[in-house]
Amino acid sequence: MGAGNQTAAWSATGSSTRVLAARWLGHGLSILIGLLFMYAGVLKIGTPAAFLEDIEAYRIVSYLVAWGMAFYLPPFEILAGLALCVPAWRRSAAIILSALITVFLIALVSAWARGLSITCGCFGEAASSDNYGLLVLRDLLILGGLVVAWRTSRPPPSSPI
Amino acid sequence: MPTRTAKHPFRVRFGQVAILCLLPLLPAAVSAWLHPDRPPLNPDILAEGEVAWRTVSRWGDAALLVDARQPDAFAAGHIPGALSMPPDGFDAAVLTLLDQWTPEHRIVVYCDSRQCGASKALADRLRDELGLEPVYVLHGGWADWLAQNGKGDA
Repeated sequence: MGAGNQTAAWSATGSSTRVLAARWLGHGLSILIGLLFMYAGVLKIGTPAAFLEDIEAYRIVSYLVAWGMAFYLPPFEILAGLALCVPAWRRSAAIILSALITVFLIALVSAWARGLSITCGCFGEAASSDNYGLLVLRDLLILGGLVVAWRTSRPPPSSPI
Repeated sequence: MPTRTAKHPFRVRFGQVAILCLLPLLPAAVSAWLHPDRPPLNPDILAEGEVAWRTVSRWGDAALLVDARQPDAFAAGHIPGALSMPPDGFDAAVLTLLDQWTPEHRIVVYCDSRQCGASKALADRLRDELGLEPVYVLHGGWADWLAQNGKGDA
């Protein structure tokens, strides 16, 4: 084998290793973030009244909308988190969870700017915090993880009719 | 032989997103219907012994407001004219309350929010131990009052 062919072979091997590593990184991150969302949903699904109070503390939506969100968001987080762990559903789950976390971020920054005293409500009462900087950083990390999960996952397979 | 066409990946993804967004409606509806701890759909529905702020505001000086939250929360902000009476400081605050109370007064107790139980517990204590009547719990507590009236006294 010539020197040129050997370099090309090494380059190809290195490239496929990087692709494989990136795919595994995306896979691991997806499962981690998926479990995180499922955990958040499970914590809140049993206490709609407390979650409603957390949503109302942001003073962004009306009581009726907050009431609907208190029941809808926990099962939504559980289902989307579960879908993020399944490769065939990963991209779709990453899209809607990225949208959700972006809305959370906007709500957090808005509450921060208005000087409201909130306890996030992200993980029910189990991990309530009013440290805005940490909460924003955490959401940004989750958003970054979702972007990596999106970029490293394959598009969904085309289904034959 | 007929050719088999494939669904476009975008259509597959759109279908998945729709399923992920719509499917939680089912458990959400069941929970909203059957959950034992479900909050009322109408926030103005009052539980037994509760009174809304719009009613209290009409009472004027006849309303004697009692804050059942912890002293630090009271110091951070409270309804103007309210007397601090945290669960641990009941005995210490009783004399002040009795100094201000007259039989014409309607006592209105509040705590943090709609879900806190301190105001109901204190209202029961005021009725049972001191025999004061009438004693109401402010619906929505401090959180609702703050949302309706803005900043309180500090």
